[in-house]
Amino acid sequence: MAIKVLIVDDAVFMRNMIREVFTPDRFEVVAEAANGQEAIDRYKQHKPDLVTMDIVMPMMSGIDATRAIVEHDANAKIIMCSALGQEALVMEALDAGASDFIVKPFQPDDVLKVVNKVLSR
Amino acid sequence: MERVLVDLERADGPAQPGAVDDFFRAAHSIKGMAASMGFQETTALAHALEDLMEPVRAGAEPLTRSTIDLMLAGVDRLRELVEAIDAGEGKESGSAEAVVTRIRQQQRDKGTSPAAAAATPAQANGNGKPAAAATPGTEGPDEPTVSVQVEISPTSRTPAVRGYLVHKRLSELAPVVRMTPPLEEVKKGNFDRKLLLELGGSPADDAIRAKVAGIPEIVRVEIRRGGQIVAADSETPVVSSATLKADRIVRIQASLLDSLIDGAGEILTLRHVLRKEAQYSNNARLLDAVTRMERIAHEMHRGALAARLAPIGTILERLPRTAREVARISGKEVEVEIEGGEIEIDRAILEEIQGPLVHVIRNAVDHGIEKPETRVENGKPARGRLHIRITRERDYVTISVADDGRGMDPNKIRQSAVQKGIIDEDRAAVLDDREALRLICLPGFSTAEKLTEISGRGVGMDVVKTTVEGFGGEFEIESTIGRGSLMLLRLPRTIALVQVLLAHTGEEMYAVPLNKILRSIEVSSGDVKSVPRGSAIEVNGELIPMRPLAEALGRPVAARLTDDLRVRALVVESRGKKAALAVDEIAGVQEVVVKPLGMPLRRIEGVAGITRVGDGRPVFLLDPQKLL
Repeated sequence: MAIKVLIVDDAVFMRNMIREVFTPDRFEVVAEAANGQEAIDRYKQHKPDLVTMDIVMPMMSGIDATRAIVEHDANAKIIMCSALGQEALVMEALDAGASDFIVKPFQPDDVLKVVNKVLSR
Repeated sequence: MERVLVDLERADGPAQPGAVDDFFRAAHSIKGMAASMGFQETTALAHALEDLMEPVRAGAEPLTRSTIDLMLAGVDRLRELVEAIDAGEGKESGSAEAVVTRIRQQQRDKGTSPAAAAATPAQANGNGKPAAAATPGTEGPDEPTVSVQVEISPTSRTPAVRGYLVHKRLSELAPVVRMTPPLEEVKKGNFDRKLLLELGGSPADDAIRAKVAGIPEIVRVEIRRGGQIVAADSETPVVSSATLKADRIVRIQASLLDSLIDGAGEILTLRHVLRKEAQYSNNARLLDAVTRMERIAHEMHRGALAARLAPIGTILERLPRTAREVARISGKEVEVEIEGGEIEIDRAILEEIQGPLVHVIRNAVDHGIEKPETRVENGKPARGRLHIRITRERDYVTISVADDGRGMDPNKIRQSAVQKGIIDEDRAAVLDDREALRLICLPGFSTAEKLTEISGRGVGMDVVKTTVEGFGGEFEIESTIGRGSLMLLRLPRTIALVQVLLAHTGEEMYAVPLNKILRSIEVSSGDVKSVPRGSAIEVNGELIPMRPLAEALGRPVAARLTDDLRVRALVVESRGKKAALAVDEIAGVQEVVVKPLGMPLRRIEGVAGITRVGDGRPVFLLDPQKLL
């Protein structure tokens, strides 16, 4: 069965780049969200196996959304999409319950490595 | 350690905090290293010495002669142990037991032992809570713990976060009694990607291995109980220290090394084209080959760059003489102290930075240090002091040059800049002190009332700044009137690959370092508001001034922002304020090798360097902060 993925990022081009990583042979991107609140709604609606979450977004940050999602589902697997220089924010996100993180820009390989590790836990 | 103790003994009065810290740190790192290599006696002794110094460091106890004697005895034994390890093919021989017992006995007599023992692990844990809160007293330093050594991949771009996560995941399994280096240092990235965690509560090996196996970017994990390796997992073949020693050093022509680095860099640039082609044609085999080639090219590039590292000390040797010569000519006295010369940096950066550094030194002596009589009048020692300090933090090396001279007066600099017509009065008035100090980096500026032969006409400070920034570094000035100035040159350790966003404006393409962009948003003309000094966009209720990139670069602007069109706004932060640059579209993200520009291109404001993108086209690398 395909692994269901929710992609959260306010930038369309980032969402597209991440989408390319999740090839249809193993994954199914069930939804996309452009801010934290949308992410929570889509999560509840689709119950994805995996979430990729941008950190800085309008309306509600990825950290707050992560906190809310983990509160709703303690087993949620959320991978933060960070950039260099956001180290402190990533640590905050990990404290909020994120499973792991990737650093932008990334190679599909790097993302899949992290995804596989997170799914193996 | 011995030197510190002898100094402490010689000095009358209260112990010098710096010296006590030095001793403490030395004991701490010996303990960490010995523990990671399984040398139990050395670990126990270093630990005892550390505990003995702890109350002194905390200011709870004076440093008595008997304590110093005990410490000296301990240091003697420690030296014997280390020498024995060296000579005896890595075996610990000799006994430190007697001295450890004496130290522990003295602590018991004084009643300081429990406090000291409890304070250290809690501090190492770094979260402010006592580490072994669940079982107070039972996780003392002498209790057996499981030690887990974890090595983070050299390719990890954020070892600090990775290290933080390792601590987090393992503490879900068992209390982390101690971590070397401490969590606070790991969070700052001040470590060599190796972590040593001591876990209490005896978790099973398999449980530890399973935890670590779920964490990406870990190349090696080693579990030890009682100093014996009980389990080790490694992604890469383990290189034993014996093989490392056997690795021969060869000399290589610098130009050959340069061409290797350039070659690997070009391959890395070209792979973007290959990857794109493979993706367009949906060729999985090609894509797979490109991915593997990428990895190899990265390895080659990294390896060649590492081979080009050289200690900064090689260019520092002549600086004290330079300083003294300048001092002699200007009738001053100066002493120069250099710290951290062993820290390594890319030779290519080293060569470029030598001239600017000499200028900074000359400038500090010529403009900073006062004449002996003035200094004495102001209650300073007649001889001025110049402190050059090199520190390394993750992938950056900072060279700081501090003088204890007269300092710079921001008001004087403002006035001077206005008089010289560099900036107008209105602008000078709104600059804060820090910004005012930066004015000395503008071409044609000099703070001296009289121009001197030594520092010249203020040519120089601008070159220092542009050179440092050309490598993707930062140049900072701090100064206190009457107390002295500090020049900070923050440089990347190697000519690194920079992740850039490629943006189109009109016919042209520019590269902007990704780490300088807070975000990129799509805006249509409806989102653009007119404000008194131009245009602005609203993001999260915040009004952010925006100008077209073409305009900032002095290029013709095809269409005004208020025309009906959609643009991309790159939001950047400069001196605490957000601002946006409008571009037509974003072409993508690439990793590129940046080269600093030669003169006179170096003088173009906002252009930090030049690079080649996938199709071989040269593209300017922008410094967006300069354009706002």
